[in-house]
Amino acid sequence: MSILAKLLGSHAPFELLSKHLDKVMLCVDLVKPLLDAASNQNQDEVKRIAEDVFRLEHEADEIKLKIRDHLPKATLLPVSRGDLLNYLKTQDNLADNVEDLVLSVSQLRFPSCWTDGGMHDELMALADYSVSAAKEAANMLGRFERLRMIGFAGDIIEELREIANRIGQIEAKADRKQFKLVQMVLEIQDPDWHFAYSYVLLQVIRSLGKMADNAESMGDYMRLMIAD
Amino acid sequence: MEYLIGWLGTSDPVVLGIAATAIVFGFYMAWNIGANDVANAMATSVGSGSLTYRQAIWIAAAMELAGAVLAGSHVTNTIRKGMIDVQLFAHDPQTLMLGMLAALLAAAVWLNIATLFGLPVSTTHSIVGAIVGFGLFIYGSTAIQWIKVFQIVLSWIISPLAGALIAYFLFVLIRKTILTARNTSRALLRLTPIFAGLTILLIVLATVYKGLKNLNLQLDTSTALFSSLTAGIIGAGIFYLYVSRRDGSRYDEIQNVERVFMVLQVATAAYVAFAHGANDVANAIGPMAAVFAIIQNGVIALKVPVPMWILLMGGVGIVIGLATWGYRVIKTVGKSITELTPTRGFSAEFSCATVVLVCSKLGLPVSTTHTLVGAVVGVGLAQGLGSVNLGVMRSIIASWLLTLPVAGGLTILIYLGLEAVIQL
Repeated sequence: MSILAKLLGSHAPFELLSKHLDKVMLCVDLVKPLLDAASNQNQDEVKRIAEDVFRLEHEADEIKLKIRDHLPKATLLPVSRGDLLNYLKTQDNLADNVEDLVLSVSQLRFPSCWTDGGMHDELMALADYSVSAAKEAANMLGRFERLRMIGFAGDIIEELREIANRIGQIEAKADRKQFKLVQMVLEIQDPDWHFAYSYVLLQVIRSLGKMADNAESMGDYMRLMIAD
Repeated sequence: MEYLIGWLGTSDPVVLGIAATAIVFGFYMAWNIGANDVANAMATSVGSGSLTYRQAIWIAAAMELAGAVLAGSHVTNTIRKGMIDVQLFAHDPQTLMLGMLAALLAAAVWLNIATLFGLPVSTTHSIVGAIVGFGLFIYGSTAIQWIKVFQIVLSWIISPLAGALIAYFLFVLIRKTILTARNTSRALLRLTPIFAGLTILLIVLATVYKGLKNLNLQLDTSTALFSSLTAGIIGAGIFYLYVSRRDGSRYDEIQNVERVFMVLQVATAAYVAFAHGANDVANAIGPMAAVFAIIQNGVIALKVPVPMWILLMGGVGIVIGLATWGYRVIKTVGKSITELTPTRGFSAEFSCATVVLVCSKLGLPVSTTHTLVGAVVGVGLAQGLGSVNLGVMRSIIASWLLTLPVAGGLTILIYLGLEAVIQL
């Protein structure tokens, strides 16, 4: 292989990073349809979405491994290898969170306070926060690609920091919503309600919360990648 | 053959045999240079999509040839008589002749091995190592013009550094004035014609300043400056017209900038090929010219012009090497280095070609490949280097350390073999 190819790496990690994100975001897009289907007790739909998520998560994993396997060959990387790998990991975790969510949602039972007590609305609000945090995080990579094209200078750096800040704010809202939902679960009075159901419900809440956390981490690692 | 006998002024079969061998070895060396080295110079343009690989071959062929013929003789002189004290061989010109043959074959064989195994070996380092190895073997360290060798080795360190520095600032300039400009199309219109003009100015200047004597045409400094300046301004004007008339609305701003630089990159690719021809053709024809000079004069003359046809032959050898082998390398390298966008490729190529051309005008044989590597690293530094894999740096340094002794040792072995054949 020629010295230039060795120097520049035979493989572009950034293009693959975008491809990986595409798969991850296809998973994220399924979060709300999944919760709707479960809430409507439409088990067929839940199963169908679950299959899609498993497939997409697997595809994302394959791209992730490709990036990791070939990254050592890239020599002239404008960002630190460690930061890039950490970013990749958090981006990948997002898909894992959706997968975890699928596993719990398919076991979900609904307490009497689900619709009357407003639990459904609160859970959907949490899902909104998590999905929008993930979407903000996904927007970063497009801006980052542009920054890379320009050669890591200019206003985009500030723009990216602002997006990271916004994700942080959304994550804080998601945290409060999560707290409220946990309280609601602990206060369920339904006599037919089994402790195991609470456990599954808490898992759903936790997975949604983790999504927002991971989106925030993506922002943090993005900050490191673009730091002076 | 008739021509050769007349030109060399002898019909001694042994001497003619040596002359023919020199031509074969020189051609083989030139073929290797074309097969290995040129690819790196052209690959950045192919990688960024500025040129198809077929176009790259044609441009490389034309410009290598032009560089070799029009600006190639300074380094040839250095290779031929700069590194070893040729006066020591005054009573024994045959030894020097055989030594030069051995050096040519040794450097070419080493290059061929390196090409097969994909080692980043410099053609320049190979021939320098070969000649120095030969001088050391025959007369010990007194035969070596250490000052000259030291200058050459110093230039190997300085040329990648200079390549990196110029490429760094050029890319920072492009980023500051064009890529991050509020109105990129206006910035393009204002600045890219200057880049185009400058490239043409430098190619023409290198050609006419002390270059045309190969065509028996000497221009004085002011005429040379004036004519290259005129060519540069005309080139800038044409490029201005091109940029002002093209419709970039189909593309997004940054894509549009890269599109315009694709066109500029064609000019710098030509520039690199020209500089490479000027610098590297000497590695093949320097020792060959020395052999002919000794045959012609019977003694070691200090100043013999390098005949035009020898320069031309070196150029043709490079082109054939490129066409028969180098295109494969261009194809593979071009595919793999997509990270080098036209603005970055332009910065690296412009810097590399300028450094190589200045060095070859100073009679310093430098490695084009290593200078280009320096320039690519320079562009990388401008973007902030987050990660450096030391493996490549190691292989460059290893090739430095390995090439000199291997080429030198191989030369000695081949020399002993040639001597045995002659004595039969």
